[in-house]
Amino acid sequence: MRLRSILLAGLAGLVVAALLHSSALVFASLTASALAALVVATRRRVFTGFNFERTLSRRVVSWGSELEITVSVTNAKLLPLVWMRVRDEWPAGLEPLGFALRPLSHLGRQAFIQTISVRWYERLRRRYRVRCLERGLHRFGPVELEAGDPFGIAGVERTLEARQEFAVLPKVLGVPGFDLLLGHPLAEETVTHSLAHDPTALRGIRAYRPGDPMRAINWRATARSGALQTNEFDPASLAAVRLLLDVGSLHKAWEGIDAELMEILCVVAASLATAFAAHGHGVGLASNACLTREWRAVDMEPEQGALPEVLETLARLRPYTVRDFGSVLAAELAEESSRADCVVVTATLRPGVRGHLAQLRSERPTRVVYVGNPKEDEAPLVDIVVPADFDWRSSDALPLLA
Amino acid sequence: MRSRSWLEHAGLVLGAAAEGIWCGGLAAALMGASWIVLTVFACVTVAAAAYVARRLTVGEGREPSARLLALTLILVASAVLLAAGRAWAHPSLLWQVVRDFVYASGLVLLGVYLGRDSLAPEAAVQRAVRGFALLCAVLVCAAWAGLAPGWAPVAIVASLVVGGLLVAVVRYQALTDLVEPADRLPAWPWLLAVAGAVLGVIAIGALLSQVFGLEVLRSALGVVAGVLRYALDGVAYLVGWAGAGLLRGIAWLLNVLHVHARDPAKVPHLAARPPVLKLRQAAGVKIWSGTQVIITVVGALVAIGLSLTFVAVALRRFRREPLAEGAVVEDREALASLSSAAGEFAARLGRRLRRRLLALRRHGPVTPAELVRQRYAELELRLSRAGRPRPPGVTVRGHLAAAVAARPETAPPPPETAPRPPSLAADIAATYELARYSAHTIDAAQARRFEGLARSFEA
Repeated sequence: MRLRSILLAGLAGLVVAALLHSSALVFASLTASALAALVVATRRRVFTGFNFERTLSRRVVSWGSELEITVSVTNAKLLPLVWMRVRDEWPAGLEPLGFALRPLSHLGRQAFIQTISVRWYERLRRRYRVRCLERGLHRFGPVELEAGDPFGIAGVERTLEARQEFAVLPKVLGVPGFDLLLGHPLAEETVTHSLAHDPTALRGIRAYRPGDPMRAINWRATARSGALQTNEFDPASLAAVRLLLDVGSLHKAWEGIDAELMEILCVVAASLATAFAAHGHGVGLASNACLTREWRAVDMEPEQGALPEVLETLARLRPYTVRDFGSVLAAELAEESSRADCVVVTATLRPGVRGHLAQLRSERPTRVVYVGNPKEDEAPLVDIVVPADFDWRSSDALPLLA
Repeated sequence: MRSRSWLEHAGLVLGAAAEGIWCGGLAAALMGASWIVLTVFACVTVAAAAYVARRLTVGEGREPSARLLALTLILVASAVLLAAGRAWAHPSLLWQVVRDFVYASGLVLLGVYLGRDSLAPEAAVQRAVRGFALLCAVLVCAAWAGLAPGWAPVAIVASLVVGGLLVAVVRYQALTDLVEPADRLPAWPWLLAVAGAVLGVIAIGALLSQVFGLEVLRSALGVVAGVLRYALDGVAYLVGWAGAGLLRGIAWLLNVLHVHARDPAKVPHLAARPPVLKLRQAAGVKIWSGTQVIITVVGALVAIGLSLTFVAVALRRFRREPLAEGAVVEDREALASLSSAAGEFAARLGRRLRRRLLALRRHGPVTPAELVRQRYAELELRLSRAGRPRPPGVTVRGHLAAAVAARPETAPPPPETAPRPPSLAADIAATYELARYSAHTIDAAQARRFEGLARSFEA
């Protein structure tokens, strides 16, 4: 209803009242008109000077840690918002602490429904805490708001996109049997070839070779000797490891996906990456999995300090493959310049993969971490086994069985 | 879930009250009996029928017992009315019994519908509005019959309060249905706020009905009626004058043909001018008396202040306290004090009023720059109606260029002599920017040229 219609209706009521000489009808007409005008004016102005914000305390959260979500509603006008319903879509896998979320019918979402009331020129902030219990790239929003006149006669709805994303990293467990992965327990290897150099650790100088970077040339020594001399540094890491993760958890691609097994694979990969990084190794990652909202293959070169990126990539992995794991291994074999150790994390060794894996083992230091019980024909290629039934959610250590 | 059942009961009782008020009014208008007693009786009967309907229609096989109970309720209500009605000493007992039975049946039927109805906000709004409208219809009929019931203002206030609370309770229930109990808004501050708002509206209505009282309305209607009558007399004079002219023409023609139907000397002459009616002003009618106005204004202001206080207190009580350690934390921050906000609001209102008054006082744009701005506003309105409103954050130049670019390609190319659309848009934008943002003075020739450009710019 519009204000003009209310005015006309009120005038009609007044004319009738005057014709019938009824003071009560005059009062009724004017009061009803005032009420209707209040309702219409409130409806029209209810979202004027209004602002809704949702802020997250972090964009990347480790598994099981808490995330603080601040919902801020601002009413910068004289008209109070006596009632407002906020219905926000939150991702599944968030455990609310001190409040409740309602599961939605469509997969992977929860409804955050709250009723609030904001006075004139007031900002209301509510801080909610949730525990993140599901790896992945999660999204908040959209938000549906409903507010109206004080009586609740008519509600006005508004939808805000307000989309925000955050990543929950896979759970990282301790690796007590880390020595098994090195192949030579308690003997740390020194490598001659390094992926990265530490510019503060000068090893010495040598004659210039074509391809040396200009900034590595030692100009003093060059001036003294009359020939170009290059500084040589110690490697920044002792070794580099490339994790090769196979998420094709079943033998046949059409057999579907095993989400729980996928989670264990990610936990194993994240735990191993963290353990390697803690021992000074550069860590890289390659996988046949696809990323959330991306269809590119996962291929990260081993680098010192790349652990956060590796973990975030693991957080974004989805249980769908974009290529065969055999092609991942073939690509690794084709990269002749790479001298990184390989750690294969898999839950199955399909026949097409075994040939590549055997070749990789023969050419490069390679360890195969198998999640589950390997079959007889798979066992010769497997170095370490992680039981598939171990409860990674409550456990703190990754069981590695040689 | 105790609070939820409390809300359901409240919704049902308020719904019964909304129906009972107009039913009581109808009975009181027809019988001339006490409105309060009849309203209480109607409310109780409707509520009882609603409870019966709600309890007994759930599940199959309970329909007969519900009907039986409803019939019993009708009989009991009729008996109560009959017993109470004896005091009125109606001459015909049969008529009295039939009348009471029909009335009681109507009440029970309303209650059954109320009990079966869902407690949706839309249904509650419909019920409240219907109750108020039917009460007004009863009052119109009563006034038509020459009655002026003393209970009418009370009934109107009661209907508004009950309707407001009914809608609020049902809306609250619908709003908080999906919300966990700990996260719900408390109910009573909202009801207090609604009561405050209804009180404020009633006070405004009372104040307006004093300002625009019956005598004022009748005077206004008298003036309007006089003007209308004068206009109608004028129209009648014109019609008569034209008719007389026609008749004279016909008479002249007949005279030429030597047909003499009537002696021309006996044809009456037209009046020189239309009769001017005297407005019948009710002489000696005192529209406003000083004391009454003062009392009314003070009373209304007190009521409005009281209602605002109710609302303020209620909204303060909505603050959520953390229930446990580590639970949801809430903080509220005042962006401005109430006095400064009210001051800002008053200043804004004043600015707007001044602008309106200034616009009313002026008959046309004073300066050429204002003419340019006005013509551009008209152009933008034209574009907006054509489906190309200017989005926020887009400059005038960009908007006009986009409007030109969005022209259909099937349109014939402009003639060589006509200015090209992009240059036209740029020209318009440049002149407007000069008029709007620059210190450069726009002369009348530029303004006229701008008018021409704006006219030729087809949306």
